[in-house]
Amino acid sequence: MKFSSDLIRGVAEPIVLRLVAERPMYGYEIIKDVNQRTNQAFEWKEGTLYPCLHRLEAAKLVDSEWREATSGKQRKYYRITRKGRAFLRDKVSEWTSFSAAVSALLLCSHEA
Amino acid sequence: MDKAERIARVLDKATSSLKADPELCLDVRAELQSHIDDTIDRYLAEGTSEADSLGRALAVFGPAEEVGKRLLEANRRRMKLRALARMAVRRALVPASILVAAILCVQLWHRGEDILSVSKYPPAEPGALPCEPLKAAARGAAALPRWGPPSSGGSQRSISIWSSRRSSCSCRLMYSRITSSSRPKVETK
Repeated sequence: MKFSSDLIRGVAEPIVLRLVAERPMYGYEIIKDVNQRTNQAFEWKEGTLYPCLHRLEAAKLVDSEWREATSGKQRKYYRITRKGRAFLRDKVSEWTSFSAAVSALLLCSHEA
Repeated sequence: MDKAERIARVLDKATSSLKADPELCLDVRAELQSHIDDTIDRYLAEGTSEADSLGRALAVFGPAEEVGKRLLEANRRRMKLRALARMAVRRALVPASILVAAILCVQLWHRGEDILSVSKYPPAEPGALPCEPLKAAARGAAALPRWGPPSSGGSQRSISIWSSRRSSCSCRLMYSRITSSSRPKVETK
């Protein structure tokens, strides 16, 4: 199932923050992880991920550094900041309330 | 078009919107390049041919212009702030360098006056410096036979012989220079 880009854009930032909160990750690794965890339901591309990462970095929710990976290649790793963790907590609680409210409306048994 | 050129073309399109900030542009370019390389490696590991791997990696990347637009939107605020910071540094740097130069000039001026007015060495007395070794060396040099035309006492003939020898010497030197410069050079690599 393909999701609309508006829907994805709204949740991309909390998802990326959640992933880099687990461990520092680089872009390709994030896309691979997202696609695997969602069973390819999300098919993120560079055009979705990198603008999102750069917005988070500009807002100081993540910071980045170039590091040598185990393969010997230079990669840009992103990790969450303290401000990012606080933002993520707020977003998770917001999403929980929001999804419950939307589900209550969309999945109700009343006939339209 | 080879692999590197195709990737470079896509990266040029994707990062052209960030050219106003060269440092950021290079950083994003390196990041995208690393991502494309990883995607190609994944397809190669799956057994896809090199040409197909590149084609699939660039197809997955999506339209480069669209990626560029999104990157500009995401970085616009940061670019503005960085541009302002650069401008502020440039504006502050010129007056600061003039000020530092002026301070250095004043300090050097004062130090120069001190050096001229006060010397740490006492004035030398007449005959204090031993000149005998120098005088002996000069006498020794004068006693050696001179290489050149006889300065005095030589006949007109000996002067003209010396002169012709000297001119033939310089002709030979010139000839050897010309032949060495026109000699064909052999590449040793």
